[in-house]
Amino acid sequence: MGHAKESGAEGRDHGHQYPRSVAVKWLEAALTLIGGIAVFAMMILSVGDAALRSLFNAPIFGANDYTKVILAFSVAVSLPLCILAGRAITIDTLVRQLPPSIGRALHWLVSGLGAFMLFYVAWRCYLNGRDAAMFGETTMLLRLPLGPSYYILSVGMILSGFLLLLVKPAHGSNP
Amino acid sequence: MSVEIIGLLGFFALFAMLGAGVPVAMALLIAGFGGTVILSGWQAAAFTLSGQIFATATVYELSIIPLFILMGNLASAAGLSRDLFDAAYRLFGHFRGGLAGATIIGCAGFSALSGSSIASAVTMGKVAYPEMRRYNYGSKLATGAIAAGGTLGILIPPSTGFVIYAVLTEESIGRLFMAGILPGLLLTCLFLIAIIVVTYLKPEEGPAGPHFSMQERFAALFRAVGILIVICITIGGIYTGFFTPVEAAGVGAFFTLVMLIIRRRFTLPTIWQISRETLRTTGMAFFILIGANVFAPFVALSHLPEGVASFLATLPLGAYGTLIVILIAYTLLGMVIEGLSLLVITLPIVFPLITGLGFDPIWFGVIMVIVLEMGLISPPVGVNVFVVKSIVDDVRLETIFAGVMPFWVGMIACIILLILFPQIALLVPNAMFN
Repeated sequence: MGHAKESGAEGRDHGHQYPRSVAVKWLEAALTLIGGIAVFAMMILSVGDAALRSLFNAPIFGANDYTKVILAFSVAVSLPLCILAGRAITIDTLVRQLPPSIGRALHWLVSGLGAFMLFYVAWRCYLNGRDAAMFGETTMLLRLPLGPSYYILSVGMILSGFLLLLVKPAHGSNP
Repeated sequence: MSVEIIGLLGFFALFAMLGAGVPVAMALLIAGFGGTVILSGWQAAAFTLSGQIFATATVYELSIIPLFILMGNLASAAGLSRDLFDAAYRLFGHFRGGLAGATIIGCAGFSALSGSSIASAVTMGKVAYPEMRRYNYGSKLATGAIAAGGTLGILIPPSTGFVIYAVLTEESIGRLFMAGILPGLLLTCLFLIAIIVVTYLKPEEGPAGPHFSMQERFAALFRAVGILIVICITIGGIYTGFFTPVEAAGVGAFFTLVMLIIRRRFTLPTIWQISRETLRTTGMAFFILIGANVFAPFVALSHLPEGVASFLATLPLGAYGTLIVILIAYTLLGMVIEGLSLLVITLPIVFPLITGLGFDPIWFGVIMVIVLEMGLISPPVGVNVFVVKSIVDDVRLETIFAGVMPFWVGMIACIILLILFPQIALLVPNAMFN
């Protein structure tokens, strides 16, 4: 029976083999570390801002600006982790009905197409980041530069594209 | 070639890519970008692409997604789901079907800590299924209750479904969260009625469990008090305006972290696991949102929503007839397209149509989320059913799909009640914001 491939909290894959080389493990660890710090920082910032505003009428100045920048970092690292865990939602109802050889060929074609799009997105984010740095684009209150947020998103997209290409269809089964 | 035809071809290309197994987010990106290139030229499309992606990744309101996902994962690691189930188990387990009822109540409680239906199904399934097997529950009722109960995760606030609906339609997250409370409780009651009906017709599906003394019941309730406090702080804080929904996500996660520490489960490996899980799910949600936000401008440029609205206006259906046609279409599409993807693909067309017919956008958001819930347990792509299957090896997929059917009927009943009595959804947000 076909189904939407979306692995759930267990991180199980459905017929794909995800890369587990030493380099990929280190990459996953680094992304988890950065992203974990970012998410917990957002939590503390949010609690601190709400408590200081509600209890002492003294909110953290520019808390929203900090949150936006931290969110960009969190999203950028979460995208490749999502690909690595096989969590990118795919509707493989029809593909699973195909013979294995055609399924594998289609898998590589689809991965290539997805990766190409992600690389192009990364390139566009890089260009926008360069423009933002050149024209001094900043956040509203704290005047934090927007360039780094574009660059980190660009890096996240590149990593996601590469990881998408590394995913292999399981031997002898449809992707 | 008219812009509407280009819009239709864009949808055709999108569905062709989805059928070929292209990840939904990439398919939305490719179709949205390609369509915008045709309609507005390369330069405009390129700016839309990167602009929309940056805008999605830096929207302050969307920080609610990782924070509520974090909260759910912290709650799961702190063992709060087990406490919820235990409390309901000791109170209602001795009734026929009581353990399945306890599973539904536990899921509803956990849903107030987690915005994800999958997380609710997995967490509660691991706790409840062994107990139900121990007391000889039928596989259908046991697995059906877990899969259906898990869907409450996206209706009872906090809900990822509401956040995504709010972002795509520019509606208030706070109002949508409040609008989900009464329908969430109503659906919980309808699920309990479904269990009563099933066990009345087939008593062997849900035999009565053991009796517990009053002391044991109070002890279990006392353990669940901490969770109720976190839920009250989070939901109550939004309702009273003490903090915004975004801050509520941070506050809720913080208090759940405190509970993890109090229960001496705060270890580095646990925090590592929680962080990784939170980021993976966050990535999944943002991939879809990024794709949707690139696809939506293309749909708007194609004037397809106006075209569909004009076409439907020529049919003698009336507002409610059109609504019913839309809901039937969603129910059918939900059987073959994953719910969240269906929401982001269709909302640019359906939302202007619905608001144009005079329906309340908040009320429709609640209806949409229930339709998504139905998709989560409908064959053949019911994600929650597959999630339950992944934790229950000894039950066939077909059995789980059969088991969710009574609950599926409960969802239909809930939608009918919401159409007949829209105040079920609108009472709390109107009371709060008026």
